[in-house]
Amino acid sequence: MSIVDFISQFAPEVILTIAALAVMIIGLGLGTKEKRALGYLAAISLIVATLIIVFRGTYHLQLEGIMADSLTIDPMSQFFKLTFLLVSLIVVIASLKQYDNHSNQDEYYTLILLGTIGMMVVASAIDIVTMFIGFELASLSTYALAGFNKKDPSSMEAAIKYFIVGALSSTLLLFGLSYLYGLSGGLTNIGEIADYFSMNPGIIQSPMGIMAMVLIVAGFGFKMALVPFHMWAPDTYQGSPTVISALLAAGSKKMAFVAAFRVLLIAMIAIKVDIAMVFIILAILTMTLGNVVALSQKSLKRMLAYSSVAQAGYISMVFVVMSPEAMTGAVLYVMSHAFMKTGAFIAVAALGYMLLRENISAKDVDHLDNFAGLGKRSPFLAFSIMIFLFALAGIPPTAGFVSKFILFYSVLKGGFVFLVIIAILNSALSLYYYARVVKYMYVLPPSSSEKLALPGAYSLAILLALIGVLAIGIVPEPFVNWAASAANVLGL
Amino acid sequence: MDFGTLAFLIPTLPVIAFVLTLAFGNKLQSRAGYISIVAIALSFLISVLIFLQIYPHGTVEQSAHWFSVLNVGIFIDPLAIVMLLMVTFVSLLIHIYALGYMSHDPGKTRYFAETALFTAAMLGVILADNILQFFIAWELVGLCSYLLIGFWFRKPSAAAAAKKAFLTTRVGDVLFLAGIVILYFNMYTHVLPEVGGHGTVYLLQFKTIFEHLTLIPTDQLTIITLLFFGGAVGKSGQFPLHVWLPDAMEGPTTVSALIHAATMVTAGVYLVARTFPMFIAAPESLIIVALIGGFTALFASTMGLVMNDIKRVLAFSTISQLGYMMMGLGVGAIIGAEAVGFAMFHLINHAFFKACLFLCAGSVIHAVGTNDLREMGGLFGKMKITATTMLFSSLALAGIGIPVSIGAIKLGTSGFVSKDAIILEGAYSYLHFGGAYGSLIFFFGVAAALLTSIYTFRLWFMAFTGKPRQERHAHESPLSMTVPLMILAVLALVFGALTFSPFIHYLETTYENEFFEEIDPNGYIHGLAERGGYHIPEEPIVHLDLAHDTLIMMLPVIAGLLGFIISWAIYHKRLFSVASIGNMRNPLFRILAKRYYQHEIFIELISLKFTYGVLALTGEFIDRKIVDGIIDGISSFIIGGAEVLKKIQTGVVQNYATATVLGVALIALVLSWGVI
Amino acid sequence: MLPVSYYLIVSAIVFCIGIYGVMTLRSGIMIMMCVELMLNAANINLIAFASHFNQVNGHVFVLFSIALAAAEAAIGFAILMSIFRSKENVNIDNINILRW
Repeated sequence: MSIVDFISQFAPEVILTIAALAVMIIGLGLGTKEKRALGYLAAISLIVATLIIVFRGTYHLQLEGIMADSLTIDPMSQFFKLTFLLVSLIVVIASLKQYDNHSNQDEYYTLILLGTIGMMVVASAIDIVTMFIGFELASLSTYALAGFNKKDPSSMEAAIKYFIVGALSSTLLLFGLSYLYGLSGGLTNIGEIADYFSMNPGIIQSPMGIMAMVLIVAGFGFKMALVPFHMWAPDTYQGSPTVISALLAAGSKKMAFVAAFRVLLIAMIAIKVDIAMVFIILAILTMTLGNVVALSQKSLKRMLAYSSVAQAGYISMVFVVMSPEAMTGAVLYVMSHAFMKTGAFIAVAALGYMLLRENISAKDVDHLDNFAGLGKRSPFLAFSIMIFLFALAGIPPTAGFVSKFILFYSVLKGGFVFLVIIAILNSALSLYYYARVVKYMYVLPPSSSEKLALPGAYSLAILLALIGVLAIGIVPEPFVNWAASAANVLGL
Repeated sequence: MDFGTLAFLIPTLPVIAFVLTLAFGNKLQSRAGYISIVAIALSFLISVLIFLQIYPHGTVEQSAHWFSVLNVGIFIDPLAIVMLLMVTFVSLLIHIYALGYMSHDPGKTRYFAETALFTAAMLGVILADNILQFFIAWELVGLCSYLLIGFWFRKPSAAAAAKKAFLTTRVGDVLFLAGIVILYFNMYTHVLPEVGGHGTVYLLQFKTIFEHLTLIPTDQLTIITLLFFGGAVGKSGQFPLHVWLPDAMEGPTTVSALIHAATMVTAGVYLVARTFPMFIAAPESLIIVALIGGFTALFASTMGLVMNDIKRVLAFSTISQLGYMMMGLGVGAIIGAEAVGFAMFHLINHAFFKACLFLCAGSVIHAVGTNDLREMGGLFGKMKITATTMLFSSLALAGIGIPVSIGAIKLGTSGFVSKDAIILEGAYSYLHFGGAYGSLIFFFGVAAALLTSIYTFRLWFMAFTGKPRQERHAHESPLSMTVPLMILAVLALVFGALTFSPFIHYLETTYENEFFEEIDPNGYIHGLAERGGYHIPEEPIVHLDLAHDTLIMMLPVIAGLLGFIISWAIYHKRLFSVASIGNMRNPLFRILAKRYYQHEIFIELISLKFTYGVLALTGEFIDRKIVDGIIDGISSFIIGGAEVLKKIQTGVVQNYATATVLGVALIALVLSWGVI
Repeated sequence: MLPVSYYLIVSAIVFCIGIYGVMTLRSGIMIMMCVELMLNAANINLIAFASHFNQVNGHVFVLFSIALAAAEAAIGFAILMSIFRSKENVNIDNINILRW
């Protein structure tokens, strides 16, 4: 494959890279007001990249020559790239208003674009080196983004916590990968490593092999926010700028899932039962702790963070079952959850923006009390929050229901009845805290009768997420089919 | 024209009304209610047209693919169409009434939007052709009830009641959902291999379920149906999840009428009727349905005796009457598909008289400005229409009538005809043919009938007769409020008598038509009952000759009349002591009165003190302490757990790192324990 | 030539020292140094394996990993700088407004 072919196959990534560099370089010479245009540039590059992915659709390409061992294009990678691009697009659109007077907004958009590229590289990576680099690219960008509000102590706290736990976890991951490299006799391609271990199953069962798997699970578990690697997530999601929480929950978290889908298959070859055991424990712990603690949260961002932890618990049931149906459900769940969580966080960000505009010294704008009577003050915002929350709770006809249905059902079919029962009980529990927000919005009286005017950028971003949530819920077939072909790539 | 194609409009129109009312309601102000009224009137019209088209043997079936093995669709059979007609009609009348009733409320736009959505959700429940769609609409009903009960959200008691209603019915909903999941699993393992080869099959469609019911093991069906019944218990306010219903009175009275008569609480009964073949195939569940239903009927009527809030009396009477419906369904193991007819007949009649009662109560409350029966009295002269219509519907609720038929017409109020059918042709036949716990169920039915009659007339006498206990400017309500009352009262009086046998026969065809004959030529319901170990007698039970047992045949009548007399003696006589001197000149009357004066002490001491003091207070104790306590206990345990667990999150990042390392150690342990 | 296991033992010890430091130290800068220790432990592994198998990809991996470590350190210090500006120290166990 020539370099030209390569560029055309990876056009979305290339476009984003150019746009990221352009935003950064052009930004050097512009004043704060002119920098606003850069946000639109970032948005346009994301739209173009999204359209390329959508129009190319699902196809499997055997790359040759340059980078053939490191990157692949298959339905799985395209599905996840679409998810990441849409999440970033929604986040960028929502940020257009939020940061239109920020003097460093060029860096902000550069970091978002670079983070997106990192995630997309991970989605395509079939080599542990490439994957690790993509992983770190996304992580490093989001560390900086989490601390973007430099004047805000909670943003800084979010960043340092995210950074320290993140750095620790990526060293764990790297250490695990180094063992994997050594055990496989110097291989880095994931497929080759898997082949090697399937021929020599004893190696992965050795103490060093197990240590490698443990460290890799821990490394991914950090990004996926599985209990007990989740500790950073509530603090970071709460403290970060809210739109960045959306990017973290919907984007970088999902990146860990696609990486885990590809890498953990290696472990599946020889120690399937034991890995399943590990994930049974992790999934139950994660969903239960996430949902139970979410009950007592008064900060909506923190509640959404715990809900995000719980959702990761549901998705990680796929590692227990590891059937094509479960993988379909999990892949679809990833995309649905990306839309629901982005939408919910952006909606919370929009409310925060409007409240701060009303009263610049407002504290705790995401506190539950601020949602009282929102149905009156901003009907569209309240309605969309309700839809996002109901989708998170898994109420039809939303994306949350369709993906939960497929995932839970496949787990049931895999014979893990108790796991499904726990998951369903958890879902029922989760409705309590989601419904509480709805109650605040529609039943409780508003603190002031003044209407809140929702800026157009936020409306657009929320509308996009809303369309995504409802589209998957109402016409699920195309998405399910794509998810199924993505799941087939892994050859379970 | 095929009106079946319009069926989707039935729930859609109220939804459109909901959106329009929300969008333009503030501009229309007092006319906001018209949108909802027009929409529901159109829904009613379409329902009537569909009914005329499909009567007596047709159905409407529409289905569209959703994803995987799920579909969305509409299914109208006799069971659904009578519910459709009743819900749209009663809801329409209640909406018209609300025009007058809510005219002074500042939130009337929100009110009409929410009630339209509420009605739409209920219509969605009725039209669903698969259990999942049923569940979605069912949940929407719950959500709307939450909004409506908490309509006056500034009242703390209303907010608390809304929360209670929501949480209690959610307990039922979780059970229902669990039932659906188990049903799905069974359909998948037992049914799909049988039918999978023939194109797409929708596993949760009612028809698919009914068609392959015999493939599912009976013990699984018992679990599924019990879980379904759990959902029905929550929604229909059966013991022990009835706690929310009396508190649900915190909403506007029209909402109570809507919840109690047309929507929401009947959804539970409809669920059991809709999935009746599943229950028939799992007779243990049916017996539990009958027992819970009968017990609720009796239990709630003892509570009804002691309430002084006019709406609470009616609330307990709803619970009690729903108990009758459940009992009517529960005896189906012997009665067969007719049981559905009896229960649905009572449901429809109940909708008429209960809507009327609530609207009358609303009219009274509107006029005197209080809910407390003790502050009412002597309203008859001031509110003649309300008093008369309320009397008619009370007669229906108490089940007053004569057990004589002229041709196909039974003499008696609607409530009498249907309750009589449930007690005699249902419970007694069940007893007669040796159903389990037959005598207990029969006793529940008769005892509850007596108590019902007592508290119903107590209510009427206390409100409308005697001296006004408080001087208020009571006045008759406007025409938009009284016309619905009159229509409902007339229906409460005569609907049952006129339509009894055609109705029962029409409803029977729900489960006895060509579709079911194809599945089992020897009788679908019969076959299922046989499978569950029951035998439905060949001859129709309606013709069961009860003449040789006159006393039993007369029991419901006696219960009704006795209740009336007791009530009259206690609540009317005592209060009328001054004004009724004229009557006292009548020697017969005097004797009766004197005897009753003695009896009054007797009743005061034995009946009242015993019933009120022991039965009702025990009931109240179970209600408020134990049932509430368990529900509160579970939720406080979880919330307490959350408070403890969230403290793990110390906020110190080194602890987070430690947690990560501990996690690594945990995974390493699990993995090495498995491998080495 | 030393057997590869010697390198692995050294790297494991360095890794554990790093973990211990991250869990116990108070200063943000010390924690970052410990993270660097852990990264370098992984790098030792990779180099040892690469030269053991006589392969070049391990060396490439290490080069990337060093570059990433540098970038990570840059971002980490930038965050610590901002914290230092507002709090006058980098003791991160005092930073706990976000909790529970």
